[in-house]
Amino acid sequence: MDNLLQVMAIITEETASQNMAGMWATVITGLVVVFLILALLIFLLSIISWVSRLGEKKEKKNEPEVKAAPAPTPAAPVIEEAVIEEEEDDAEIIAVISAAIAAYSAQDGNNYVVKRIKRSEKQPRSSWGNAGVQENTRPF
Amino acid sequence: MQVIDVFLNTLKELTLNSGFCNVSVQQALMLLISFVLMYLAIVRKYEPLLLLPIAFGMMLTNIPGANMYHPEFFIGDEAIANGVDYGQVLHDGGLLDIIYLGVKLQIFPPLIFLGIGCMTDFGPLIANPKSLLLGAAAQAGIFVTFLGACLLSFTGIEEVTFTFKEAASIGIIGGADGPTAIFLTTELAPQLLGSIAVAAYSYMALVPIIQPPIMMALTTKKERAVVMGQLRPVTKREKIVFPIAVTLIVAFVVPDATPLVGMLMLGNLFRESGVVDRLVKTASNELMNIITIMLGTVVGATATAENFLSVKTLLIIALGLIAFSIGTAGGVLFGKVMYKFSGGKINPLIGSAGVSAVPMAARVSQIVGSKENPSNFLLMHAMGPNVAGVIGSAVAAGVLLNIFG
Repeated sequence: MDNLLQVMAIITEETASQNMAGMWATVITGLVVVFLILALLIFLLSIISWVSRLGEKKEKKNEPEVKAAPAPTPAAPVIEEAVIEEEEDDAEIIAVISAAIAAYSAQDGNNYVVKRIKRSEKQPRSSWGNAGVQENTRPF
Repeated sequence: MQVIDVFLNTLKELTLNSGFCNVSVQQALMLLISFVLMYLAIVRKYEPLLLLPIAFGMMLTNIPGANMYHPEFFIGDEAIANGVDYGQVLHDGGLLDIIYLGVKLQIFPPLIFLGIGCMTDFGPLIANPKSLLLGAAAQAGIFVTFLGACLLSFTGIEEVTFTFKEAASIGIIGGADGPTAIFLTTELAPQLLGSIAVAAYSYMALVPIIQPPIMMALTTKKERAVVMGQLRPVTKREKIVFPIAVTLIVAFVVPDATPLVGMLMLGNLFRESGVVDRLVKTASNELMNIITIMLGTVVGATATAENFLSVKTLLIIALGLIAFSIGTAGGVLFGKVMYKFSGGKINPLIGSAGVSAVPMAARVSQIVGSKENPSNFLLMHAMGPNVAGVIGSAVAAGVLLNIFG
């Protein structure tokens, strides 16, 4: 340890070719200290969160993971609208979805055919929800 | 007749003293470089808030005879031997000499950190403390670049030989944190301040271009598509205790990092306490803007022709790019390690955000991730390593200052 300190003490105005040990000592010390301190902070944060949540007895519900189910429509390219689909024969909803897809296809130039509409098993975040998140995170 | 003589003489004196007669080729070149930087700031919008004042400061300092800034007061032989003569600076200094005192005396960078603290939400970090490790891993760029700059001295060519102090200042570019880089360089290698600041801020602006290819190369499609669970909500109490605890720990272990980390956390405590809204508003807006103007202008002013136009500046720019790339790679690779250990729950893309550059680097993680899966929102997860990177690079600067300062 003393040896290392001596190495460290004399290196300030030198170059690496004059003091190889100093160079390696700096790299190793630097990396180790940075990791140690941040690891220490992790430990500290765990304590803080443990202590601060000790008082609150509320169980936090783990919300289900947000996953957008892949659109199951057989229509050529996969599109977002297909996620909110309905199994029963609901003419109004079908009309709305078809209209949305028609508007979308007019924009991107492809033709889509609605062959089957099915409600997806997993409940993904709605398109409105997605739009909201996008809106809120845009400044970043 | 006498009137005409005096008139002609005055005209002659004026002409001889004017910049047109005194400008050197180097100064003219520096003026051109400042124009290029202004173009990048105004047209390309590369970090314009800092690059624009930097570029203009660079222009001011290279106008012959204007005497806005005297590098010899701060890095001349006498100043190095006996310390800076502050009386002389105040007595004979130009405007920029006086403002430069704020950099020299380490006042501006910590005040910028105060404002950053007021604007930073450490919630994502508190919710997922493990992201601190990613913030540490991304600091690898600093030390690997330090190593690279050191190794150049083995070539034996004087123009490319950096002392340890210079190498440390170049390495800190990899921290991707402007104020930290300025803080450390002023202390260790003030003659390189202009080059290092320009390199650091230019690369920070280029983060969206530099990072994605490295992130794509180091990760598989499956890793990039990992959807991370929602972060737990963080209580107000945790957010208030956090800045106090971090300051105490960091300051006790690395006292040299206290000015930066202390002010960052003071700003954050202002924000989270919720009782000093007026101070938060001032620190994050007016104060920060005032300091940015002064800091940018004088940092640009240190780029005088004799300091800036050298092989070393080119090397610094090259090494800076290496520093950024290795920092990014370090974060992503550590992210892969965490992906393995977490059983595939952590998306390695958030690792690249460990190179500070808040919030740009986190945004890059979000964008690269959403390319693989458009409904994947990595932004908040990436903010954890991102703000951890700020703490990490401040600590790294403290360590380097401790060794070489």
